[in-house]
Amino acid sequence: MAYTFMESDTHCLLIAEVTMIWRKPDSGDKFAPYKNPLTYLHLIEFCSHWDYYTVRNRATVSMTHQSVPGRTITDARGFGTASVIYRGQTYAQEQVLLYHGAGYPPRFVVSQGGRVLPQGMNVQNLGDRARFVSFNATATDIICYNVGTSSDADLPALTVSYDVLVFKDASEVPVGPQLPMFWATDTRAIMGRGRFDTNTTTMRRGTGADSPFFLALAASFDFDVGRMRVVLPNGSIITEPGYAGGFTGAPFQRIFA
Amino acid sequence: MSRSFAMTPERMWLRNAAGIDVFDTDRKAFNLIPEAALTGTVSLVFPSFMTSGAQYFYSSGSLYGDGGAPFAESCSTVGTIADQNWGPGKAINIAPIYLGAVPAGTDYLDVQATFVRTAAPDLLLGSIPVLSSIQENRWMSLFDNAVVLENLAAWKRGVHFLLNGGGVYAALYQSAGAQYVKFIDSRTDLFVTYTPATPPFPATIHWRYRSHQPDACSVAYSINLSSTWSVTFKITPGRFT
Repeated sequence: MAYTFMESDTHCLLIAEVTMIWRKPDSGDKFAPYKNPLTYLHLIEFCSHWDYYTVRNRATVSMTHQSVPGRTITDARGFGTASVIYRGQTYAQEQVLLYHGAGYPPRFVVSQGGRVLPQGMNVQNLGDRARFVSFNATATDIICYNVGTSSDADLPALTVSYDVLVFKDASEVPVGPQLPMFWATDTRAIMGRGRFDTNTTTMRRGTGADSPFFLALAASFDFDVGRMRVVLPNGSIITEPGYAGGFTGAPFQRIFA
Repeated sequence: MSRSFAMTPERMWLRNAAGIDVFDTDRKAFNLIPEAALTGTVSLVFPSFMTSGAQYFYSSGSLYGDGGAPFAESCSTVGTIADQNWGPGKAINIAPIYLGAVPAGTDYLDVQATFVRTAAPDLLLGSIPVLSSIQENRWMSLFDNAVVLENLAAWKRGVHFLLNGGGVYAALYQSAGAQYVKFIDSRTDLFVTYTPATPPFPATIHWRYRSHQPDACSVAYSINLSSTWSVTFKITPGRFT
């Protein structure tokens, strides 16, 4: 089997049918992580047979979510005193956020102001009126689904700007010839048949110097007596009136993609 | 060595023409392990919220004007639910659902899932549906491993996918605040007409209601506020530290 091996003081690169970059163990066989990567997860920097968040589409999209008219209905059943007053109504709206054309529902993230949004995020909070958004993927599009509820007053239309990143599955059939396992020139480098490619980016840990982008590592919301608090990663807090819990947010990671 | 790939004694990187390192051993990528992915379908059963008594509305009047006969009476019951919080670590526990094991050293989960509600709560107040807050049967990337499934003004349901001790769990959370949820219009049951013998009849009727006479206002009501969601998941474990 043909292979190429390089090493530095701290890392090894082995280019073969399975290509890998790993940090050397503190002691023992330096090839142990290559032989048993699942035992040495913390030392593996790259494995050509694993998946990565390789960016295939990115866009910033401004969209307007529809208004929801206010409504009051009095249901006076019985003779006078027995009645129920219904306030408000709910509209749901499906809007295409981005055409990606992958042919399968890909992984993606949607963020706002550098903070990745939780699914079910409150983007409009007017006390007795609110709007929540979630996002999903079809084989062709990333969809924004918003649910708005009015009271006896309207829920106004809202224009929001979303940043969306769509990631390429490793199994996606390449356009044109298969990319090389490892290849580098002065202007372009490829690893793992495109899992890393200097023509695009792949999501990794970020630093203050290269990214203002934050990802929550656990749920960003909490419920209390039927109300919700959302704490965006390293960002703002949205609390529905009546919430009395003590949620302060999940751990988060600065990321670059 | 090219300018796009480089290594120093303690670092390797791929650098694009703009000077951005798209791979960098100093800033690890999210390594996702497909051979360890968990896939399957599981039912998430959210228990019914606890109801908390009722409020009663009584009325009576003449069908033909003051002093006329026969009289009519009606009685309605409005059921309520109280403040309550459910889920792991909440006042009312819901045991997390075990989904499978992941390799030791996993510190990150990539969660993709579709959700379909297979059993919805009863209509609130007899006419208001509890809508799904997501589009059902669509693939969602759960950026923070969680999703809100039902979301009304004082009614929430959601699920977190958690990594705990080498296993992955679905943790259900639900919460409700005091609100009216059930309206029983008892005209069908209790509507009676009769010729009064001794006025004032409303007072007489009111007393009979409070004493729970056979034709009193109904105090019993039932409502099923549970919901069941079927989730099809693909959870890929990974490492980013």
